[in-house]
Amino acid sequence: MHAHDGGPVTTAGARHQRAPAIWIFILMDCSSFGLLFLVFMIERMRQVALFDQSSHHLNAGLGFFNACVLITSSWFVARANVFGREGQFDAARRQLWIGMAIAAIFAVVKVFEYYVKVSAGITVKTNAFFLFYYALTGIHLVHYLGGMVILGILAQGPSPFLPDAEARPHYLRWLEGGSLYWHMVDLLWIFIFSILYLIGAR
Amino acid sequence: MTGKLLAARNAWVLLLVISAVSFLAAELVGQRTVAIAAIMIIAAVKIAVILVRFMDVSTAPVAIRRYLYVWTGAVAAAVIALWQVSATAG
Repeated sequence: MHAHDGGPVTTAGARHQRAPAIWIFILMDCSSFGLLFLVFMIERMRQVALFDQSSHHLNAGLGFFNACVLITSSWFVARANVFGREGQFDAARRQLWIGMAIAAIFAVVKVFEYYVKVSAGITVKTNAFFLFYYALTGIHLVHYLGGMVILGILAQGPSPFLPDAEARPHYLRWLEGGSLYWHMVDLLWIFIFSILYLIGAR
Repeated sequence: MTGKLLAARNAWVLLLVISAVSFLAAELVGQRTVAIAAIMIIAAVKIAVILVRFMDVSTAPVAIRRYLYVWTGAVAAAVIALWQVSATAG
């Protein structure tokens, strides 16, 4: 992506101003999840059999389905960015709404998974694996919900309270920041899916 | 459809195919090696294609960008190590 692609937003000065906030947030968030993954790995090395056995209670099919859901949702968010940079804000908003509608399926599946687990008596107290299962997927779900709120705000389009010349670049900055966050949520799920659902698969 | 939209679609299809390979390998064929390798490819494609191509990752400060690449690589290595331990124990 070159400096002239995004119109007035993408001047060198604006880039310099907009970059750190979202990137620092993503850096901090990835660090937090990295620590969680590390602790999970250490604990798993100590109790390999228990973790393997417990992971067989997870439905890898649902995890895979949710990975596809988030990847598809991210695709629409990426499309929204392309349209946004071309100045087609209505098209960008439509892509965001479609992306959100698809992403909503993720929450439905996740709640269903929790319901099935809790109904079967599998809770956070069951063993160390399920403590990590609920912690990792729960924290990820909170990130997901935050992302849905951000996408929902972005789907409203440029602010009507700002002059047009100011609102559009402002919107593009937020669109890119929100999209980056959404891609992070997607990427984190791919790792969570692999360590919880796949590694212990039969 | 513009070039960028086509590229986004191709990246999406690629990610779905790799996800399907990882799921089928792990769940149906029992090939965890393939499954984990596929997941690592997903992470790489996600970073390389989606972020660099569409999300303007070049706007990130260099140190943060490097950190994120290292982070992705480190987590991928951790997943492989996990799989290795699991496979050895199994």
